[in-house]
Amino acid sequence: MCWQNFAVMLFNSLHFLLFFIIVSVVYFALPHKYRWMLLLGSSCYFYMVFVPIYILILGFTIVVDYLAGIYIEKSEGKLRRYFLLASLIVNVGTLGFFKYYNFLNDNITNFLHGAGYENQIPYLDILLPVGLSFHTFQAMSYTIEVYRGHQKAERHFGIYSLYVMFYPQLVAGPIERPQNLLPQFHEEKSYDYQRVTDGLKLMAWGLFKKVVIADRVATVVDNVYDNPMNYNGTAFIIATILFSFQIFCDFSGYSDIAIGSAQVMGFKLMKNFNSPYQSRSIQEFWSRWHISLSTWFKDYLYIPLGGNRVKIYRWYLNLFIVFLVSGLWHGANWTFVVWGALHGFYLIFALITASIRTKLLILTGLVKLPRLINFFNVLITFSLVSFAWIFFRAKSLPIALHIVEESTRGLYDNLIELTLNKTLNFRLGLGISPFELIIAILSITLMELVHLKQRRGSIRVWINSLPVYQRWGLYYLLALSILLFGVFDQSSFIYFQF
Amino acid sequence: MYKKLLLKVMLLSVPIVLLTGLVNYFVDGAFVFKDRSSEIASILVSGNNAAIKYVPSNWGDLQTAVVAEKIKRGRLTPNDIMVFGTSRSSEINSGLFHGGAMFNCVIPGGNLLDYIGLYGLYKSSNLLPKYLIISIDPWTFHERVSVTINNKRHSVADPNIPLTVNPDLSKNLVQGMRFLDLENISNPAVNKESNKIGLIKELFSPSYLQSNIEIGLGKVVFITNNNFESDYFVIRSDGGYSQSKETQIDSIKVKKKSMDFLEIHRGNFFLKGDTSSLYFNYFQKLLLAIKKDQVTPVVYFSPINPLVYDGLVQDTIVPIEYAISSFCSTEGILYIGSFNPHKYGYHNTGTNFSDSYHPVRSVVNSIFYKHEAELKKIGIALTSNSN
Repeated sequence: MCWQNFAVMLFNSLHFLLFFIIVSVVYFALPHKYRWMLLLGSSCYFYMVFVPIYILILGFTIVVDYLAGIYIEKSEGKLRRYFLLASLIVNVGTLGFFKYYNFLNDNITNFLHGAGYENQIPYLDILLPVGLSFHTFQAMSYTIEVYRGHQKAERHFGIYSLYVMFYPQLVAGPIERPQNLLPQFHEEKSYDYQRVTDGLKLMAWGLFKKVVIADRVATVVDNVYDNPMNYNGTAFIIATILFSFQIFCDFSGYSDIAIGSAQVMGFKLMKNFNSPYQSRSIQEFWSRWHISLSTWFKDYLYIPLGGNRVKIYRWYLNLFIVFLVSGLWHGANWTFVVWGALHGFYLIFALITASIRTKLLILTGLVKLPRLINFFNVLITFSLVSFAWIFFRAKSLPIALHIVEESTRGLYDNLIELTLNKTLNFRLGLGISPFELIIAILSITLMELVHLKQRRGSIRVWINSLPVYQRWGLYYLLALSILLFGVFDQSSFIYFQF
Repeated sequence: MYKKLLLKVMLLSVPIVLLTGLVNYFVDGAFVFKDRSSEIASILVSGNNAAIKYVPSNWGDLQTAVVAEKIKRGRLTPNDIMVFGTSRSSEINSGLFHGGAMFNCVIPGGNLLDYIGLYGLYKSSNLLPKYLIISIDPWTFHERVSVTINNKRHSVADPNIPLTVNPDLSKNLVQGMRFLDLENISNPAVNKESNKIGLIKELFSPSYLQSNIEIGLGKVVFITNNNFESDYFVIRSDGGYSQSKETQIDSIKVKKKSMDFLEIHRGNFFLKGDTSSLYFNYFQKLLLAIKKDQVTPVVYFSPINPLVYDGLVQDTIVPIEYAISSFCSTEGILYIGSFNPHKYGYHNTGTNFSDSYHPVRSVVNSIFYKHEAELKKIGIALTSNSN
């Protein structure tokens, strides 16, 4: 028996820390003309820690898109479109095969069983290449922009490969645009103390969110969501709220480390999150959550479908399609499609009822209390988003529906139990000690306070303006918090599975 | 220009790293750097239970320390009953046996080489017992390695790599092999270099720091009369230990652990067995040598969680269990228990197992009581059944 170790190089691992230090030091030691080689080589190594042979798949799509870009630029008329189509088919085909083959086969099986037939199509034991959804979209963005004339085709194969494979954002984004990232590989980056330290601080903040918050609350979420028949009411609600923060801290933590590590070397990646849980509407939420993906869908799906420059019902349909596809992008399971559909529904409902709600606020006089309105808007938006997360996290639709049902019915039972039993018989059995829960809640509160502070101005600028002893006090506090309260059992990032 | 950055990074990281190292070294709750085996052995040989903050990492050292302590105190009368086993037999307890001294030589995660090492240790000290219960696990003849699957660490058995002995029993293994007239196994217990790397990792490990801070000013080792102490691991005076009460009654966690175990181990050794291996031959020699030493061996098979057993084993008997029990039958050696929990009426996970393969004490006791007559026949008397 040969045990195969399947692992990505996690950002919260010693392996990555050593890798990052070595690459960064050698990067600045090398002359500019050799740096792309170092970055490409290290990105290849980073990717091959997973399943080495899969680099051939990545290599194949890179070659196709590199050539497609050149031929799109060189060609005229319909030929340009054919080259673009070829590139898109290869990319979507690769993504479709690895990610959706078995899902599609499952649905065919169910359909045929319903009709009394057997499905002869074999299931394949396919391991999803890490980061496939992300770098596929990034590559597609390149060929589309070349086709649109917004981007010149990259002639340097190594630089183009690096655009797809750049290790900080290779496995989970941000999904970059060629106009932003490609030129940066041609520019010579010099060492800048302030930029490097800012990058390191961002990485530390990302690590805090990941190991102190996300991994700590993951225990509760996994216990409840993986054993739904053993829980009800309060436990589901708590686990769902905690999952809202788990997925945010996990993903935004990863993004911060990605952006920070790129920043150290002088590369500016796009911001991927902007305090999404302080959004006052679903529309605002999607301008603050996974920004690189939502803007990708806006530019390459929503606008080509017509956007909002069509009749009203077609506009709503466009929105719904975008969210359905976004849901499916996240995973090969109907739960993700329902999650996307819910957000589509939320958005459309908000648009339809916008004027009614405004009139109601005026009628009730609440329009004179903007802070109260904002507060409730934030609360309602968070609740809607958290409700939709149930479908995102649950393993199947029946389980998700069970959780939804029990969240209300079970909650009533729990409240009765709490009021009738004045002793501590009421136990949720969440699998986390009260101390750990307090740490999680305090950390989440701290994080949201930082987000609130950021609304008034850059937190980085504020920290840099503090007296040196206060600044260093904060640095030590952050480092010690990670050390003392972090969970170091090497859990992967949630978005790696996409 | 890099100096400023380097200086500030060092100013931040060096004190923190130093603090981590100092706390880990001086508190050392799991005895990674300092040997507390003698301290624990002294408590056990005095007839008391030892409460320790964390599960020790050097069980072989504890076993040799127990023998050394007995010799030091002049306790040169061998035990009536001893157990060579792993965590799956740690619940075999002195309360089961009527009269006479009993000691459970637990080596968690142990394998056949550890048993040969223990045999060498006790034979060379003239402390072999009258009865020796040898606990067999499905992986007793296979090395277990740590692998990362889907970014989670798992301990799995790999028949393709040679067995290694607990480092503190390596000298005793040489003695044991000599007693068995076997060629010396040339693989070293633990690669010394990788052990050093392991120690450095633990010294600066944030997880270990957190564990040590939890101990705080509390005791690392103390005497207790209880089998369970809140937040402590208790080694009984008879050498065994129990999983904590919380672990035993949390059937939700047990089920989850079992499902995870199944997911990792599908297609593994349970279905194959390995009766042709060199180690099976060594095991046969060990049993015969024990008999020759006028010690009565008893082979014990501890049951697996039914959820795991049903998921991994197609037949009613695991091949390795069949091979061993056949050999025992031929040689007139008593064997009790089975990997198959259904044979003893354990069809559900319930609260009978603390995880995928550790039965709780009541399960272990009930297996012994089911074989009371056979045990009595060879001279092992059990106390009255209070289950």
